[in-house]
Amino acid sequence: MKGHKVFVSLHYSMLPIKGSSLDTYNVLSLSHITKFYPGVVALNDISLSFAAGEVHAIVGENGAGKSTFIKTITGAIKPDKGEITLQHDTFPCITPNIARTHGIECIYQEFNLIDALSAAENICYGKRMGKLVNQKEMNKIAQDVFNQFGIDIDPGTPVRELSSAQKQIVEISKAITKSPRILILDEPTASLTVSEIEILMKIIAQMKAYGATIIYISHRLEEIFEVSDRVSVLRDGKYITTLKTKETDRPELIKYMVGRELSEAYPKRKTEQGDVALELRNLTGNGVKNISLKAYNNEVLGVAGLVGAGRTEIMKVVFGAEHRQWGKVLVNGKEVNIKTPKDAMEYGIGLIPEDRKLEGCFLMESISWNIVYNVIRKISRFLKIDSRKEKEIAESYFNRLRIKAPSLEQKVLNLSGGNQQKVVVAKALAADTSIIIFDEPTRGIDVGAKHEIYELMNELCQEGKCIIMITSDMEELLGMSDRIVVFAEQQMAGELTKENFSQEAILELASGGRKGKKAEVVQ
Amino acid sequence: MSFKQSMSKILRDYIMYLVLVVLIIIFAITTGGTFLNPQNLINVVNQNVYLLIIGVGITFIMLSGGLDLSIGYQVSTIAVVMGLMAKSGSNTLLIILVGFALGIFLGTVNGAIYARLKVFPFMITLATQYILNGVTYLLSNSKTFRTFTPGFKFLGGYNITFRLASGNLTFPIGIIVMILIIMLGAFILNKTYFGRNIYALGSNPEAVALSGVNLAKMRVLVFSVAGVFVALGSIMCAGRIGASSSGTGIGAEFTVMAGAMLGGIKMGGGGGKMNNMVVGMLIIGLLNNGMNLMNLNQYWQYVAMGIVLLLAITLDTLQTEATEKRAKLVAGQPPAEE
Repeated sequence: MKGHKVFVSLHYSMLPIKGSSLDTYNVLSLSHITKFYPGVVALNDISLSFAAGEVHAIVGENGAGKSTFIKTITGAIKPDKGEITLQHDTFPCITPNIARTHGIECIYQEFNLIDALSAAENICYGKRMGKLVNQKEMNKIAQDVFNQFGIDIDPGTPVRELSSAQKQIVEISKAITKSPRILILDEPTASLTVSEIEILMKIIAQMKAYGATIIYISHRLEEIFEVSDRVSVLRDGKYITTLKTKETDRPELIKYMVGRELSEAYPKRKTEQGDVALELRNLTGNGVKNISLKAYNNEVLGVAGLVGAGRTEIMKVVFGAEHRQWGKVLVNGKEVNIKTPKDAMEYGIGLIPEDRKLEGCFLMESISWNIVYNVIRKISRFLKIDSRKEKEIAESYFNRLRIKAPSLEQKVLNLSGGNQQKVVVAKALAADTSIIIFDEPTRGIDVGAKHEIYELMNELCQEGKCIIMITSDMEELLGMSDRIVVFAEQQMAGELTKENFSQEAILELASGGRKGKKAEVVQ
Repeated sequence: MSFKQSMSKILRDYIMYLVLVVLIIIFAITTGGTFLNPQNLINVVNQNVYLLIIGVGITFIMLSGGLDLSIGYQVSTIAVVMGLMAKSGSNTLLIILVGFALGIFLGTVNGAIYARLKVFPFMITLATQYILNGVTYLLSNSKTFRTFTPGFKFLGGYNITFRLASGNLTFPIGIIVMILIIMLGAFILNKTYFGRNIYALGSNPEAVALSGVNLAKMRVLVFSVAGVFVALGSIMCAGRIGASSSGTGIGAEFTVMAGAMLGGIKMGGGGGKMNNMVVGMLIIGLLNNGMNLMNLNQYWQYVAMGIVLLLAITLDTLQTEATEKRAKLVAGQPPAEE
């Protein structure tokens, strides 16, 4: 590889040379950082330091506070308490401007590129290069970095025409051409193939050698062991510990990540596993491959996995909202051909979507309007909706689900998150469903409402319905499920029966590392 | 709900009626009573009959989150085709049937392209607007058609004359047709499966798709149904004037969209009722008429219209912001200081 010098800039000469008392030179120190969001403490009194020339990994489960934590470093959010020391200056909070002048660059999980501009223009966005746009110079800079990656992207290609792996490389290139002193990478390998990951690892090693600090976030523990010098663990917004990567191993790390006490009591239910209600055989589509599983009546099947593991994606295929590439879906033992959500609903499958505001309900309409939406055709005579029946159905679900609102005519917009969720559930139940897929059923709702949702799931279970519950909440997963299937990297990673439930076992399967990922990414 | 809250809700829901009343009072005073002459008021409504009928269709499209810029030219295309048929001596019933068929066809084409390409219909209907504009001139050769039969002109142009002590009062039956059509539109919106889906489309298309409704089909259907009202509007317009040309109905879409927005129908979907469109259109009609009676220069009338529209949008935004602000308020009171 040639042209490595592109990353070297004068900035780095100001930093200590590699090997000189690295442990004592902290480039960035955070002390007692606390951030509240309504109802939760996202970051709870976190103190952590980062040294020059180290790769410092941060690990934690879904919702441990990793993303919020890095956002305090980049200035995207303002902590409520604590202070941050950058080099020799101490700030109560970092602003995006301070971050920029101190050489902090971050590559977020989501792309922050301008689709309409070319790869080169994106890479050089925000750089001052003379008075006018210098297309030649920009293309040269971009081409140099791409050569580093050994990757063939035309710098003039608009970003919208790039694949997600290519976008990720543009994103990384954009950050490293600014010669950052602190580079934050949030799940940088999620869309890269093995060979591209190897190049990224080399670039990280190189930047480290020049004295830059790399903060590396990944759920793939194998990568953490490969690339990092130290690793810090967060759990539930709290700082747990920092370990030298060489002195620890995978089981120990997992133990720190999950060491949570299962405090909340979950309502008990006594049900015997019924017949197979839904079976998937090698179901493939929407980017997820060869999923085989069985879900039974009278049972809650928990679906575990890290965010982006393909759980929601495959359920959308089951529900007919996304295209099925191959594989079979069987309902009550019979193979069915589901092409649209309408077909799925005719087979008795209901979906409570992950994002209730975006996909689940009609915020501007009333509670009864929402509840009967799926069945208005059935309760219409000729063209006119039978308003008596409408009221009957809406009232029965309103009472059964104990929706708290002054009247059925209340707009859903004005309800609390928990009650909105109940409306979405009522809407699915009204369509006479027997297989109900709950996607993150209790996200963003308060404890009392959560409990009511759990009780409702138990009731449904006892009635003989089949419940599939996708959740990122470990307690809920262990507390509510009869069986658990674990997804990792858009594939099935394993299945656990109740005797084998443990946080460690789930996390071990969910952070399966790179082994399942092959270079044959479908674009 | 406290008294203050319920008052503010009433004010929010009926503010445009209040504006209408205030306008009527202002014009009654400034025109020295001419404005309040029943014949004048009937005329104002009659001039807007075809716009209000088209408005029912446009309301459907707007509530479903869509937009159609080509409606004015759809009206003129339909009018010209009917004029051509009348000239060649076709049967009146056949002419009317072809008018409706053409309206449904044009709406369906717009809707189908929108449903397939999934881009905001602004672009699509801008393109079809140009196409239709060309087509009407090609068909009409810039001529005006005046050979409509009395049967054709009946719906749009027949007047009932009442002999009153104060003089004759003519009442066009077009107004009755219009009222019936508006009632039909309101019924479709509020009471039918299709009406539900119009609101659902405008409110949350993602949720519609996940609820087992064929999103594309529903989008096409909204445009097709709107085409029925556009065709009827065209028939009424040609019938009232007794003639049709390439200029018939041009600009109708902007007048009606302005009226609908003025009345409180949200661009991009998500809220509003049929009466919002009606009251907005009446305000526009009365404004024009009042200013005419005041002998105000036509150009000043445009300026006034623009200002009224801007005020309406500002008012709507302020109300929305206030609602959002209220939704974020937490119940209770601050704890006592220690």
